[in-house]
Parts: sequence; structure tokens; C-alpha cells
Amino acid sequence: MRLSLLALVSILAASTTALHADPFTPYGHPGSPILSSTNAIFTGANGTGSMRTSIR
Amino acid sequence: VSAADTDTISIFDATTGTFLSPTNAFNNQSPSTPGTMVTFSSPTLHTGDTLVFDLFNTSFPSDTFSSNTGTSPDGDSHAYLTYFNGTIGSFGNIVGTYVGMEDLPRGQSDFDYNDDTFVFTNMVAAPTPEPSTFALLGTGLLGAAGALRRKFRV
Repeated sequence: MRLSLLALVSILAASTTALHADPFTPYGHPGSPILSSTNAIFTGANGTGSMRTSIR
Repeated sequence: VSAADTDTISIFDATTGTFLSPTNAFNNQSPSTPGTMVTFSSPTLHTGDTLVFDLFNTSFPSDTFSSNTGTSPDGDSHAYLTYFNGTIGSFGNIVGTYVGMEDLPRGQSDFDYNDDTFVFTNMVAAPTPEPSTFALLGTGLLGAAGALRRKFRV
């Protein structure tokens, strides 16, 4: 009984991991400007940036 | 795919008041898609510093479209930040902070924050206190003040 419960928990954990694989979401309110500042905090040395796309 | 206007971005260290090098990076008319990787640096950059994204559009030479609402000509933020974990062309899988920028002012902008998009490592979105947080803080401070007043009343 305990073993099957453990297996169930493992299966649930594995399936939810896939859901968290790529949590990126584009801006969700097109047409509505963001009204407060959206700056960043530097978290360590060697910061890099890569251009992903450039579209209108 | 390129935006019609020519855009570049600079990163401003608001904590020390200096721009990171290079400035005017990521010219959107030069690289292919996905484009280039740039390492920004500054001798005065330290962990915890606040970084501001400034977009310069050559069609609007006197304006800075910024993530800082106080700097943008329309008082809006021109950067959308979110967590990113995915593949970027030949760079492979990159985990970092996605920044999507808007390169036009209010009235002309579609505000979909995808004119110029980047992924940065080694930085996270700065927390923005919500009104409910301020309300909670205010309530707590009022309660503490009341308690102290009762304690020291003669």
C-alpha cells in the first residue's frame, strides 16, 4: 500500500515536471502599456545577453 | 525578421549611475535572427545593482524608450521581463531573463513588447511592490505604533 502510494506520488511529480519545462510566456496584454518600471537586478559576474528576435 | 525602425539598446546601472559597455548594442538591422550574443560589463557593476534597459530608435532621436517609467517620454515602461528557459538558435538552451521591448511611443505603439527581444543571463526582474503590499505594510506599521503608544502611555 505504502509502495503504491509512493509510485503514485512519483508519477505525479514526473508529469508536473514536464509542465514546468518551459514557463516562458509572451506579454499577455497586447495594446496595454506597462505603467510601472520593469528594471532588473544584477545577480552576478559575466552577464550576457543574446538577441532572440526582432519583429514589429 | 527586422523591425522597420533601427533600434539599439543600452543597459544603465542605476545604482552607480553608469552605462554598461558596450552601449547602443544589438542593432536590430545588422544581425540575422536569432542574432548576436553580447557580454556587457562595467568596472563599477556589483551584485544587487539595479539595471535599466534603454532602447534608442533612430526615428525618435530625442527619446529614450526605457524600462524606467521616469525616463520614457510617455511615462510607460517599454520593457517586459519574464523568466526564460528555452532554445535560442545555435546558442542552444539558455536559462535567463527574457526582455521584450517596445520601440514606439504611446499613440503609435501596439504595446505587444516584441519589437526587440533578448534573453539575459545573470539578472532577474526587479521586484515591484504591489498596492496590497503597501497596504499590508501600512496596516502593520499603524498597529505597531498603536501598541507602542499603549505601552508607554502614562
